[in-house]
Amino acid sequence: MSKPSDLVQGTLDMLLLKILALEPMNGFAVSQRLKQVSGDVLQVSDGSFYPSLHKLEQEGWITAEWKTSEYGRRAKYYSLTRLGRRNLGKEADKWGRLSSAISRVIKLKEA
Amino acid sequence: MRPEHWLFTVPLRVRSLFRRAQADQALDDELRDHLELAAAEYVAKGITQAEAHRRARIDLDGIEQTKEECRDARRVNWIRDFVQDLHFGLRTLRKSPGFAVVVVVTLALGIGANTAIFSLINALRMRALPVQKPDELVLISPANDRNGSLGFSYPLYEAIRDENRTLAGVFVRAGGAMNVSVNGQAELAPNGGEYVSGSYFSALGIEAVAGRTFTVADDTVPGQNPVAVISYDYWKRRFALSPSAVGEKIYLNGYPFAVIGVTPPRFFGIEVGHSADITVPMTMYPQLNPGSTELSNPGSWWLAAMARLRPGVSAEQATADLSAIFEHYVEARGLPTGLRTEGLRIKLEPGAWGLSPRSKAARFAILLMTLVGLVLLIACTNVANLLLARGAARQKEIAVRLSIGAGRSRLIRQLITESLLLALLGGAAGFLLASWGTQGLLKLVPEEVSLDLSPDARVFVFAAGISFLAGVLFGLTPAFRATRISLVQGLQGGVRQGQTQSSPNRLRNGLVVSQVMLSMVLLFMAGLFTHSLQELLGVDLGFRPEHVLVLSVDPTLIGYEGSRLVSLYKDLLQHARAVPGVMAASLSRNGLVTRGVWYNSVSVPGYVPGPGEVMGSTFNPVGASFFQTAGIPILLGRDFSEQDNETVPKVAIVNATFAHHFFGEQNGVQKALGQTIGLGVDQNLGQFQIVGVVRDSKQRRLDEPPVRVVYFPFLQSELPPSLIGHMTLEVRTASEPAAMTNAIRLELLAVEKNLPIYGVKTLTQQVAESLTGERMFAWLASIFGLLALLLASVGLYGVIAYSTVRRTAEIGVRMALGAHRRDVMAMVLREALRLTAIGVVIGLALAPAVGRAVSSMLYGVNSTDPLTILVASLLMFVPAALAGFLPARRASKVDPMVALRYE
Repeated sequence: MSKPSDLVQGTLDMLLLKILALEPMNGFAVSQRLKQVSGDVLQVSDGSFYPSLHKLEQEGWITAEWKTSEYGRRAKYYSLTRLGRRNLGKEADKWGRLSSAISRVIKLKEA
Repeated sequence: MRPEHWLFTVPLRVRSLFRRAQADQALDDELRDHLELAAAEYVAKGITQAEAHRRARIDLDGIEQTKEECRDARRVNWIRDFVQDLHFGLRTLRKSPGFAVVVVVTLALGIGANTAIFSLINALRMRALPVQKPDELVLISPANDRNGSLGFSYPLYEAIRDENRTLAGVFVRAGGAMNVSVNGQAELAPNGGEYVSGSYFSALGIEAVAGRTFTVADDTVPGQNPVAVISYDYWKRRFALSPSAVGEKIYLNGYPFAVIGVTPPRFFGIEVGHSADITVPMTMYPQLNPGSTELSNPGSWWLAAMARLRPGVSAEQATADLSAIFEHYVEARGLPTGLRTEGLRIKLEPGAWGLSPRSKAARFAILLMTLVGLVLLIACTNVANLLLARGAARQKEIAVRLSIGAGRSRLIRQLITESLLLALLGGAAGFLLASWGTQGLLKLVPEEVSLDLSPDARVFVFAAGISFLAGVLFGLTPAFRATRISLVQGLQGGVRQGQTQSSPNRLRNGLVVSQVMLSMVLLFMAGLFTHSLQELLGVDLGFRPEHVLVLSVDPTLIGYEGSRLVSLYKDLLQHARAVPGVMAASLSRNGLVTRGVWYNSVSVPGYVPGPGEVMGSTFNPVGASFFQTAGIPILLGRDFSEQDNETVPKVAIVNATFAHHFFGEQNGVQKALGQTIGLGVDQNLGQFQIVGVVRDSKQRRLDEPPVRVVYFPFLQSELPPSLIGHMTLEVRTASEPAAMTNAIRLELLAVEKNLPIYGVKTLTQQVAESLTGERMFAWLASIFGLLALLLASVGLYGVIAYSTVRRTAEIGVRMALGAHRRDVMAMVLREALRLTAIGVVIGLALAPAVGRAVSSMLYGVNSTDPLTILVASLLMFVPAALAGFLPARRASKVDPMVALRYE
């Protein structure tokens, strides 16, 4: 199994934060939502975003609590913290700048 | 990370650390939940339960690894890993106890030796005096380039004491022998006495453990304060820690004193290695040394001075302040006599370590530290080799662990932890070894030196530090090597027999060669110093030490002075000569090969001194037939006789160097005879006619250059008790002098029953004792050299044995093809000798540089002494031969059929 590259890792964090910004949910739900929204384009293996989730929790950008889910079982629910919200904004801005820069280069017309 | 971010995350991380079991469980639960949910999804899509679970598992891509990465994300792993590694390491070591024991013993030897020597250096130079705030103390001395540091005169001390503005306390100190009488029982204080100023204890910040110490009030008027403070050790020995000691009346040199206090156990004064038994105020000096004028004599600069700086005052400010006082003083009272005094100025040095021990001892200590460091290096190399071999043996285990996903760095960390564990065990054992070893060291040190070699925090930190360094040093390379294997090879059962993995071989061989080289260097140095010692022992003393007993007497301690003193000496000599078995007896002020000599000025008619030359010579007042007793050959003229007393004209005898210097190289001896010289320009002892010239003899040390000496009869000069109060009797006996000790002592005591007699030994013993330092060093260097030899041999054996085992198949083939056992043995031996030879050659190449570095400490030995080189090389080859012989024999006994089958 290969580790996600740095670029993908950074972006992955941002995506996770965004998903959690919408509503708190458990790990499985996050992965399902990601697949769903990206239309299966973003192939992130399940095994690689648990470490990311834990890292984000360690950094203090998301926090977790154990709640009883709709199935009546205990599950760990993640939600965004104020710090995380702030960082999400920053990461989104960075990503916007990066992607528009890349687009500009790609759109250069051949002479 | 920004600060507030830190504040937020740190509690999280700390919590992770402490609740890891909980966190682990939570992680398990979370992932399990995910699996269930994912499986449920698949089932919903119509896949069977079993298949659904399988797919969910695959999707999760390696649970354990995921878990590991999650844990990694918590980033507190390394502590947990470390503890885990320690557990694992302990288990592994328990499984191979032989290996562990060998390594721990090897390390214990190396680390122990280093710690022992460090304790020595710690006690000598690094440990500050056990006083309050030693960093504030300074040594004050008038110094110039010619003489180095001088002492203070008492009037100078008074001037500094009264006029300084930068010192919080200043004191002077002198040592001296004291005769102590308690309840009628008299003895010479074994560790001597001390005279100190009243401010001594307050400046050092020392409080008494019983009674009180004396203060400035006890040091005001000379002769008015007969109070004494005793050392804790003396209190234990003489008074058995009895509280009644305080207030006890004792007699010092016959004068009544009262004991008023005891100093703390660890306090020993300001001179490292010396712990005086009794301390009295300086103003009582004249009472204990009748007839002395030292306290009021501005020309006698004999005191050591120390002070505590006032808070906030720098050394420069104090120096300026004291220099002004000094200049003022010199203008008023004059300079020391008989010495070069140009450029004399006040010098301040850090006093935290007390009076500095001689620099020669310091140089020896540094050299010892180097030697012992090399021994440790060799020990570490041995351990590294062992670890490399073990790493090769563990390849299957390592391969398995790598293949199931352990990170290489993780494994390396674990192997290094194992090494550190070994190092720690070795260090602990070494520390214990050092504690015993230093006791042994103390036995080699002369009696008068008292050092506290008990380990303190600094020694402990040192031992821990070098253990850690050693662990990293010998653990790093094997750890990297062991994990750098191809998985397939490893899983197939380790390195196969007959496969030569050349790089580990080269590394191990290289290590062994370096061991041999280091041993060569150590053996060479040991050889140099041993040879130097031999040379010193064979030096021409100029006198005959066999069959001579020496005894020191100090009648002034019981009140003798003036003419009574002189007659006492005459009586003592008469009685000594009357003892049956005594061939001759005499006495002298300067002993033979002792440290204290008296130097004074002479005037010689017709001799014009060169520019800046000091007309001086060593003076030695002696008794009749001194030269006959000491066995010093008379070149011309005669010995002193009983007739040379105060009624006849004064006579003197000079040595050959004196004669040659003042009367010319050619025929100096002949020309000297009959000349009249003036002795002692200040004391003006008078004019003496030279009636004899004798051969040069060693005065103070065996390795000194020739010096000028003038001898004259002690009866013919009115010398104060300070100069002849303490004399050495020399008695030449027909048979073994040691056997006559009691007879002679009894005879002397018959003259004066309270006579303080000490330092009784044969002259041969005394000469041997003057070489204690050199002997101790040669001993230690030899021990370390042999230790290095042992370690290198063991290392060599290990490498040869290992390579032989791996070549078993090759040997089998050779023998099957017709090689004899002899050939196989020769092959193995050649290998051993080859490695040794390379090491020896490199070591020899380094030898000249090493020899040059220590040449200043050698006597009579070339820095490239061929004998030493030869012996060292031969010594090195002997264990090499042995190291090669045993595996060679085993190899030759190999049955070719077995060897070929054993793949």
